[in-house]
Amino acid sequence: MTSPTYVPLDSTQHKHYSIVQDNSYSHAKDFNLVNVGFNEIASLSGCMPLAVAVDDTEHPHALVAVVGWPQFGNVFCGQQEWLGHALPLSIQSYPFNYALGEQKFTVLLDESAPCVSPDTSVGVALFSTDGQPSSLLKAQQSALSSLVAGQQQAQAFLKVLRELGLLTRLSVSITRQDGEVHEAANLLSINEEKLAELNADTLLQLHQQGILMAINAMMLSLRQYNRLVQLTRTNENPIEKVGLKLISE
Amino acid sequence: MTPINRIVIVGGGTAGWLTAGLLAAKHSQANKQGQSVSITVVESNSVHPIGVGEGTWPTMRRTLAKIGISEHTLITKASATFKQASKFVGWHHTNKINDENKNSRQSHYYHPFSAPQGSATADITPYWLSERAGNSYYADDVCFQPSLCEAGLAPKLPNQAKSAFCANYGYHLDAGEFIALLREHCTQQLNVHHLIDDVVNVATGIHGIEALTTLNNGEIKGDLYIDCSGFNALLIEKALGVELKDASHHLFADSALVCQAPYEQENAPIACHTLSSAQTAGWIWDIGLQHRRGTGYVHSSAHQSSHDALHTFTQYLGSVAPSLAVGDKIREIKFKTGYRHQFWKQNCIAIGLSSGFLEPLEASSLMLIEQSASLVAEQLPAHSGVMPHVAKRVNATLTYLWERTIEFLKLHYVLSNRTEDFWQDNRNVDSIPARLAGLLDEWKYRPVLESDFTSATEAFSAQSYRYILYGMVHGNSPFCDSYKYMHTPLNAKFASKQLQLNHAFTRQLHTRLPSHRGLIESYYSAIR
Ligand SMILES: Cc1cc2nc3c(=O)[nH]c(=O)nc-3n(C[C@H](O)[C@H](O)[C@H](O)COP(=O)(O)OP(=O)(O)OC[C@H]3O[C@@H](n4cnc5c(N)ncnc54)[C@H](O)[C@@H]3O)c2cc1C
Repeated sequence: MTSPTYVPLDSTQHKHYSIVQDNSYSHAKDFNLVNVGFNEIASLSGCMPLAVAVDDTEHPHALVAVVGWPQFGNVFCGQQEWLGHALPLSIQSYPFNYALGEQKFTVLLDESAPCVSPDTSVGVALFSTDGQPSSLLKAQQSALSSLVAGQQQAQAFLKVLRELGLLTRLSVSITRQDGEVHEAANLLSINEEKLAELNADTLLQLHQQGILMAINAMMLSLRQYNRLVQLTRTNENPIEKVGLKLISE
Repeated sequence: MTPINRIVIVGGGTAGWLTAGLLAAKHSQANKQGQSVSITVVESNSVHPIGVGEGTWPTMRRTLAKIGISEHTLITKASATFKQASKFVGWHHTNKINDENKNSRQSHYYHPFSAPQGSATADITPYWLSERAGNSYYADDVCFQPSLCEAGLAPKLPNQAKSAFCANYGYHLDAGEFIALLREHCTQQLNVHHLIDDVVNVATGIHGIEALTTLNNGEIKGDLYIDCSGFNALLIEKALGVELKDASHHLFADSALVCQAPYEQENAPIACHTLSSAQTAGWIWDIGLQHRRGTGYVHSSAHQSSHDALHTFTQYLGSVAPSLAVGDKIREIKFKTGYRHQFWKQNCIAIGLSSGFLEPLEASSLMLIEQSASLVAEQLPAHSGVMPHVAKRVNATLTYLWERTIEFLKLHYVLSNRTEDFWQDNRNVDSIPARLAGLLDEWKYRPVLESDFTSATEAFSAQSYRYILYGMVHGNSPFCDSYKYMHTPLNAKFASKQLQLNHAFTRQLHTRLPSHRGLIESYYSAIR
């Protein structure tokens, strides 16, 4: 895949641009982890595992959804369609992105994306001839604003989790049909013991802020590893078994 | 007793072809006994259809579905656009409403096609009157559609979107293209016979019409004749002598200057509502089609000379289409306001302009055509013996519809506070139909009720009345106080919630809906 060339969306410059909709979201077929927003936890947690990714310095830095493994790529990308009932906003927003400046939110378009066409003969137009955004573009603009809001909230959420020491390392091991085992411990999840130790006031506060629900949803979402396993069935060497371990440090 | 097997329709305007389509869709397929009804449309090559009539009601969607014409076909073949409302500009003067961003607008109000928020549960008007009248606009407060219209947004998402949201809407369409589309569909898909010829003589006898004589095809006989010959009224009036019941003492307009004006720019936004602007002696309609607008000045020649009317109209055209060289593009249509004493006499029924005409203030003509034709299709008598029963019922239903329509149109005039003669005369008590006058009296002491309109075939609902009545209340209108006489609580919690919901819903729709032109273009896009 060529690296994206994001330019600010412009109703004059992109007047005749269109997008060929790709229901399988194949641009994301090599993804394993996808950044998600706080506002997506409820809808995604019933479909895919949610966890926290760490950066090079082991600092927890992003709320993510697990959509596959390096050996399989994104298991939700089917031949014709997306194989889940929920779809992370950042995948849905493709080929758009955003930039945040001083008070300003700029919509960006990846002009090099294969689904982007400089004329309207092949896809769904971004603008109608009166220069107004099409419903497709409006939907994308809304998705981007939820994305921004959600990601900002996600940072605040992670800060709370860090401060309360509620994160712990998650080790995931998979066993493939031919017996090969892979283990990875690059993600963090909720430390259930620490959660249980929180005092009533803190719990009440977390509840009122909607954080407790998100924490529970994250914990429950780990069950969705089984769905990921199922989705590898069409692979010639699928996953037979997945094992999860929370490692207290 | 002759079975009704041959229907002859005289006239190939919108009325003739809509009627043919509705009848054929129901009756031209052979039944188990192998019998079918034959339907023939005779239209003259020398007398052209009137070429106006471009605003429809939401009822047209069902009518076209019955006939078998898809929305896609209508949009791509009849230059159709979507109509979500009528917007009345300058019909009354208000004290400016000091609402943010509203104080600069001209006095106007909307009659949207969608019902108010929450109206399926309860009418929130009394609450609105007590809390908001005088400070905001009724339709804007209770319905999302005025805001969509102001922003030039479509009533729904394009087909390719996976959402079911759909505001209520009718169409604007090109009358000529619409007739061509109906004609092609009726003759090619619905087995309607088409004869291009002039009817030069109508033979009558004791049972009504016996035969038609045409210029080139000799005699034509039918078991039921439908007069769709336009203002000519060839069968119902000229042959059978049924006169118009005059209604010009209620509705004064008798002339229209009409003009098809181009857009200033090819891709200009398309209004998603019929614009109706009050003028010295009438009002101007302005309808946005895909590539042009259709306009017309409906006025009373008794209140304005034709010279002055032309001036009023060209001034308007100059303001909306400055580059248009109007000159020869304006044509005048004279009309009589009224309806037949009898729509169905013996073996003949009149549908369309032949049955009567009321100024097109609420685009009621096509609706009345749809209603009349659907009634005939549904109640088509099996044989001549039962025809009088059907005729009697249909006459009663249609008379009721026409009378109610006159009252509803008159309502717009009665509520105005304009001061020109035309408008003052319109408020003269003698010119107000008695039933309407009675209701207006009552509405000072209680709001409009559903039970004020109880017929199964009511053309205008209580809600339509509310949109007009409370849309036009101004300053110290007595109708604003009607809630004060009520003895029941206003249901404030429910009502204020509905106003909030409407506000939130409107905002949400703005972030989703394409422009009106954008929606139209999606019908032409390769990806559907
Ligand atoms: C100014 C104006 C504005 C209007 N605006 C609206 C509107 O916004 N919305 C709405 O719903 N309605 C509107 N109407 C009404 C609408 O135009 C008509 O209801 C509609 O067009 C139906 O017309 P028609 O078919 O009855 O008559 P016409 O269109 O006049 O058709 C008459 C037909 O009869 C045929 N004919 C006549 N004489 C003979 C003969 N001797 N032999 C054979 N054939 C004959 C003609 O060839 C023609 O085909 C408007 C009308 C006017 C006047």
